[in-house]
This record gives sequence, structure tokens and C-alpha cells, in this order.
Amino acid sequence: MASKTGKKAHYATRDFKDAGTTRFFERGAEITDASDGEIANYVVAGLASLEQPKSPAEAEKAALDATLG
Amino acid sequence: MSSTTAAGSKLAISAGVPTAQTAAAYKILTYTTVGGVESIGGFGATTEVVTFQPLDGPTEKYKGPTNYGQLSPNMKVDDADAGQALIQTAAAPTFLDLVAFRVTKPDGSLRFFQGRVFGFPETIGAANSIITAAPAIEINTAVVKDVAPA
Repeated sequence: MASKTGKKAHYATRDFKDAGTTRFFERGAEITDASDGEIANYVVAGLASLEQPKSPAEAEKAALDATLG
Repeated sequence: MSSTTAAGSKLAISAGVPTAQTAAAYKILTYTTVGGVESIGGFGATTEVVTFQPLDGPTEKYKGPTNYGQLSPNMKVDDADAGQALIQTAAAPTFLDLVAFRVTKPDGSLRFFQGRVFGFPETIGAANSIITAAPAIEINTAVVKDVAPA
């Protein structure tokens, strides 16, 4: 999904906060109003991804499906 | 800057590195502030003393190789902090890239340098203490100084 600015949307891979901007990001939420540089740092840190993380229930179901076939 | 306490100092990290060893090049980067820092510690280059002892004279001292030094800031461990997360990523044995650091002094003057993170050891002390970490940052460049804004 692309944001209104035309940039590809990034999602928080887990709950995290930025001490500099004092912003908090919830797991699965789209990261908005962040500069490209901020997002680049989040991506390297493993905190942001182009892929929206599954909810815990979905992740558990996917793991079960993979195990049980 | 006249003498001051360290209160208000900040440490920040960038996954990117500058194209030149200048303050302007470092300022273009985007930094993520490291939260929960208790102390940043000392940093700066030192040059090894190489000595020669002649048979009939005093010890002669020469300048040998320069080591840009280390940085081992102390911080309370906060797994939700983005700056700490970036340091932990950089500390992984498989992460070989340089990262850039920015130290902001209370008057707004800045110090920039690049380094690699070699570990993120945690300290779990007594029951009445906070769990802390002191990442081992080895500095690979000269420290670039930028004066405080007027």
C-alpha cells in the first residue's frame, strides 16, 4: 500500500518508541509522518518493514497450519 | 563553551554514513536518539607512544599509530527504544557496516564519528538497581566537531 505521499508504506514490526521524536509506534501500525531517514534507521533496526506483521492470533494460526499441514 | 555539567547531552545513531568527514556531511544524515542514556563516557583519539632508548641518552619518544578510541555509553536497557534497537542490530556479529554517531552537548555543539559496535553486554546487578547495558563501540574515524549554534 502506498501512502498519500507516494512513498511505500512501512509498518512497525513490534511496539517501539523514538526517544528523539518522542513518538510511539504500535506493532502493525503504519508508520506515518516520519522522514525517509528515520524510516531507514527503523528498517535497519528491524523495527519497520514493508510487510505488515500478522496479528499474534494470525501468526499462531499460520504456525499451526504450517505444522499440521 | 564555558564549563558545564553533562546534563542535557544526547547520543544518537544513524544507519547511514556520510560521504565526507565534514560536519556538513554528517548533518545531512538522519539520526535516531538513543533513549535511557545515563552517561556517554570518554571518546577521542590517542596516539601510541613509540620509544627508543639510546645507550647514552634519555628516552626518545615518537608518535606511532593513532587509535580513534572507543565509546561505552551506559544506559538502562529498554527493548522498545529505537536507538537502542539500532545499536543492538549493529552489535550483531554479522553486521559489518560502519554506523555514524552524533553526540550533542548541552550547549548544542556536536561531535560526529563513525564506528562499529562489537557488543551490547547487559549488567544485572542488585535488586535495587536498574538493568543496564554498555555497548562496546569502536571508533574508526576522527571525531568531527561542530560548534554550537549562535
